[in-house]
Amino acid sequence: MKLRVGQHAPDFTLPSHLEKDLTLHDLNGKTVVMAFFPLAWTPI
Amino acid sequence: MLPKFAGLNVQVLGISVDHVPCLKAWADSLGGITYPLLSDFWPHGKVAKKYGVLRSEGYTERAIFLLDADGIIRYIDIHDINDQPSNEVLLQEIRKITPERFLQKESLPQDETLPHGGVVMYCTQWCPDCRRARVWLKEQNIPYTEVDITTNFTAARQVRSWGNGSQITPTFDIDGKIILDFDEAALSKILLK
Repeated sequence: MKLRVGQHAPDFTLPSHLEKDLTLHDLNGKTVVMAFFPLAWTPI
Repeated sequence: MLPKFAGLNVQVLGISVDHVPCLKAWADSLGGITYPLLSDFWPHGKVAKKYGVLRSEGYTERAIFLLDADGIIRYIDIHDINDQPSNEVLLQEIRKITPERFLQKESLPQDETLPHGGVVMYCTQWCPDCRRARVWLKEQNIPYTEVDITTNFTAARQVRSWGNGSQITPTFDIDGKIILDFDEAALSKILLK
């Protein structure tokens, strides 16, 4: 599946290193920068 | 990458297929990372797959998705995996979405002082326990001041120091008494006398 500009970002819930789960939907109202990075210990 | 985004109402999320302890160790090695690093470890790469950035090797592309306040994708950058995405390009794209924020930011001094006295709740917008805490405080009719630690770095450092290195949200400063996490019993003891 390929996402395009203008589409709704698919919602998800993931655990975070800050010990709390994060649901993307909860960030509505903010600009969100999602930065996928290959693996930890590599520059983000 | 973060300080540049302060005051712009931007939430940065890092996402990788690493497991949580690994992300934690990495964040610690960097002296703590204030924005959430999300673990897409299990089911492996589920979210990355949804976004079309899971590689056949099992890890993700170096990719940026910029979402506006309604959750609409406004910019996608899938980068050479060995190359760093440019913050300047990203800032330009954010400026296109929320130009008014940039004007505000330029006219406002960066206020990094921390409030004292009464109930001060250090939190984030997204953390579920912060949400529960807000509801609880409201139900008890307790006035409080909120500090978002994703935009106030002095606050984030302070919270980490109170939590012995852990960035626990919410953390409360109630007239100098520190309570870590939404500990209803501890809060009741102080606030519902």
